[in-house]
Amino acid sequence: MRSDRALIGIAAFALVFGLSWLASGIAPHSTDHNLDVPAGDYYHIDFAYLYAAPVSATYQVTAGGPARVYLMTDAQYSAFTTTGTATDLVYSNASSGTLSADLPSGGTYHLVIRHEVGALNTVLGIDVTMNYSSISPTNFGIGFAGLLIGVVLGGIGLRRRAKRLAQPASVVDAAESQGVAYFRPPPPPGQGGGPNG
Amino acid sequence: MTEAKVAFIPRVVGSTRATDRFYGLVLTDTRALLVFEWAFNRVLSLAGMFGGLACGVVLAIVLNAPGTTPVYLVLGLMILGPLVARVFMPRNKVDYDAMTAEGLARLQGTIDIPYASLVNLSIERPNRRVFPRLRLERAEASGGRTTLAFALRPEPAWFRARRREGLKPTAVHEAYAADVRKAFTTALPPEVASRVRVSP
Repeated sequence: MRSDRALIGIAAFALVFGLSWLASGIAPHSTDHNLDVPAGDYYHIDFAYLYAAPVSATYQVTAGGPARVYLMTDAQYSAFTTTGTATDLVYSNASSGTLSADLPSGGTYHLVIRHEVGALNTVLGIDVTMNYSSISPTNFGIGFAGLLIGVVLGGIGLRRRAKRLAQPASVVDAAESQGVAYFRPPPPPGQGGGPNG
Repeated sequence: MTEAKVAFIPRVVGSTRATDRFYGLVLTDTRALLVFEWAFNRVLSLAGMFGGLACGVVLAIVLNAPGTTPVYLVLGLMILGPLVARVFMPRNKVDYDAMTAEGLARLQGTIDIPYASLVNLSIERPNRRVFPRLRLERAEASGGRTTLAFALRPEPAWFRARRREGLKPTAVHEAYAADVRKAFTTALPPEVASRVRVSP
């Protein structure tokens, strides 16, 4: 396979790959989590946004009584893991419910799920659905990198192709159109020779 | 007098269990040169595919990508893996126009078959074979004979063009075999052509 064709093929693949990641990074989407929070422990779902945007989480406790669900900024989460004291953007305490918030800015956020105070020694079963409607930096970054690689490789491939096509037809090119190609007989001595084909 | 290059037949393939070796066949006025172009290694290609699969699974876990993205990631890397593996397969960059027959003969991997040593030559499409087969039987200096067999795979662009003309694949391959036969009868000197049978 010619190198320009190989490059254009890889570039096309990188573009499709990049576009699909970019689309998954930009498009609103939801993720489902079926969790079992061990007795005395907590569970956290981390997510990151490029800019301020709405987010919501719907939960349904399946075992172990009501849950305490917090939506925290990164700073609040750090303080929580250090001191054990929970501060939050939004808080819900029930067997089922929905948390919604307009995140103030881009950054990393955490959804923290804990047992009810009176049920610390039980396993908490809970189903959570997160709904995102902003750009995910990881997916956006991978998608953008894929697109960039595709554009660069495609550019190099197209340039090589143009350079190849600008050259006089070679015997290999002739074989592509004729199946079997014949070399031009060598020119008589004293005359310049053209390309074969 | 310099040796004249007469005809070029692309994609002449010698296969073993693990590899397909691709040659460009150059017919000169004194010999047939099978010029090594590249070798497709099936084991390396499979290793690339499984490597891509493993990388895709690891990346999907590390990135914790949502939805169906991990599936696309794994499939994409499974396709990319064999392509990357191709980079490591041996390859000669050959300029058939600029290089002399002597230069082509000196390239690593070239099989040199002087017409003087040619005993028999057949180009036919056996049943249940997709591509026509080229069999060259040559006499060795030791007195023995060696038969070399290759598949004649036409250029995909040429094949597609014939298909667009309405020819069936078998008819296209038959026509290609006839073209290769014609190239040999053009290139072989009369004294060799009278001795060697270009069958059928």
